[in-house]
Amino acid sequence: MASAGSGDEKAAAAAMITLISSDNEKFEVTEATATLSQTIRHMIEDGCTDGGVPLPNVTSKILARVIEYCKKHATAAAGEEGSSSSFSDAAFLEVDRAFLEELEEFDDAFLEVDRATLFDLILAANYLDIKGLLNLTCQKVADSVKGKTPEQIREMYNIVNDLTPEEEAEIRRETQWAFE
Amino acid sequence: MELPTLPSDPLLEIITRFDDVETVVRCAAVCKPLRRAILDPDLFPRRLASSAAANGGFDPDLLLSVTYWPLAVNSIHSGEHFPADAFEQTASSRVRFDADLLLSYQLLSSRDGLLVLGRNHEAPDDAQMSASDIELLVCNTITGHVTSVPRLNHRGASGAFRSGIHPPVLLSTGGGGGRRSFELLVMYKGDYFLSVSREIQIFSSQRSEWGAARWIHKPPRMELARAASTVPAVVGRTVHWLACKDNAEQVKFRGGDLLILALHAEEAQEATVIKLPQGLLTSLTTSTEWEHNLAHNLILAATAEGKRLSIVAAENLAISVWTLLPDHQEHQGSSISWSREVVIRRGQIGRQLALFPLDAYQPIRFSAFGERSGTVLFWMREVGLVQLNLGTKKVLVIWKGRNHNYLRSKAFLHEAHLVSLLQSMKPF
Repeated sequence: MASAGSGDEKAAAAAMITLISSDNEKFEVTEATATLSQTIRHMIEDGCTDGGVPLPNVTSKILARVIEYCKKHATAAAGEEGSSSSFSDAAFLEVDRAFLEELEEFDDAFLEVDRATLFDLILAANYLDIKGLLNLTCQKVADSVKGKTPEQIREMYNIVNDLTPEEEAEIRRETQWAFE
Repeated sequence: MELPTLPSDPLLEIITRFDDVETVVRCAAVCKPLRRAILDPDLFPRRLASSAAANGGFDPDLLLSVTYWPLAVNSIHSGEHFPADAFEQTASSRVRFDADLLLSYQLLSSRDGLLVLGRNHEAPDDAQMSASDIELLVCNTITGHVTSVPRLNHRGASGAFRSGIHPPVLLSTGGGGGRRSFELLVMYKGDYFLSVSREIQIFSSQRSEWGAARWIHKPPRMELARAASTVPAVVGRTVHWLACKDNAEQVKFRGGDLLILALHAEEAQEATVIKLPQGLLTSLTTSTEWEHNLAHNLILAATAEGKRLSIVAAENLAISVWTLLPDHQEHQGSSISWSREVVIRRGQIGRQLALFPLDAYQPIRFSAFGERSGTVLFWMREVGLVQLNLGTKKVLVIWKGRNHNYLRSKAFLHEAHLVSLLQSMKPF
């Protein structure tokens, strides 16, 4: 803590992590942002992040979005920790509520993407083990499927129907009620 | 553009977020990988079980709807009587049930997504249904399918034919899936209160017929209690009824007169008696109303995913669950022991519902228990019809009113049983 002033540059550098996308683009992020990913958190604990973290499964386009999410939510986490000591309870709750509302608005806007991007985000969130992002994106897909027919679901997500006509007929017979 | 295929982890994340049965079934019809992920017993059902474990083994989402009759009318001829059109149903798009059936049928019992309706052609208003005249329907409220049960054809030496049946018990429900297999157990009422034998018969939907009648011995001078006995608890193949000694149906009986009658559907020749815990009997709410008896404070419940017998009790100060300990289940006497867990204190009910403080301590009469969602329904004097979830400990007023007929009003609930529905579906 006392050495923060003298080794400013060094400390800041140490707290930065380089993420490398599949198309070789480099992203500098703070450790607080990066550790929203459990996978990266473990890597840092292991001391294996020198020279950057290559992410062969994540494109630069998707990684930029993921980082955008993590930055916002890392600030949220830091805000919670920091404010608890410096505000009275009532003031803290007030700040907290305003911040949560802002965060919700951010999440809603964040999800305004096409379905291919949404799927890529799910895959990235799963790969990087970012719980909040995985929750958010999976819920979005679940909501989008509600009340849709199997045909509509296939069309929405470009899923190939590998059931034979006989199998489909049997499914319909078995659970007719769900298709009316 | 080709969308990436999702590995099973995030796929399950998505599937477990569906809160309605219909979407799950439709997704299982999209393609084989999705169907396999949904039907794989190690994946989705295990997820469901772990989320239920967080709520005491119950999944509150499986409660679909509640049907209730807030106002009973007294008639000299038939005792309690519910005007056919006076029922209400909580809104749910997830229940497929032609409520008009309730204009001509009585709702006799319900379990999972199945309802048993009955009517008596000879005397439609007669609460004492005579076995030969009774017409039974089993309605699947998930699929909308209605099964007409053949007439009871048994003519026993007891002459039980004339004296009617107790409300039928859904012994098994087969998940209410496409194959709709269920079993209905009927106990005949005896001609004489003193007689020690009763007959039972089981209808199997797979065979589409009633099995042979079977004699069961019961302790003498004992009959199923009318109050809460309309809701027996089925644990495995054993049916449990609340019963009372002597002619307690008409009188306000003492606690010692209450017992649980347990009967194995196939094996036993004799009904077993399980004594209620003494500590329970002394903690129950009594009321000066002459119609109120101790049995109103109790409802039997199958808990721990249908493996344990419990009693949900309205005690003076709290609503509690008493569960029969497994080690003692074979003993048939005084050594049976129960564990007690307080679900919610009366004061907390009052605070959650913003009641006048005293109203939280009003007498309660239980109406229904749902073993999937862990919901109990009870009528509370001065308050109305209340729903309590044993897992989340949340209370909710479904019908509000100072119901002077709270001792006679009826309520049933509709549930889905997602895991067994999935088991009934065919994987490809």
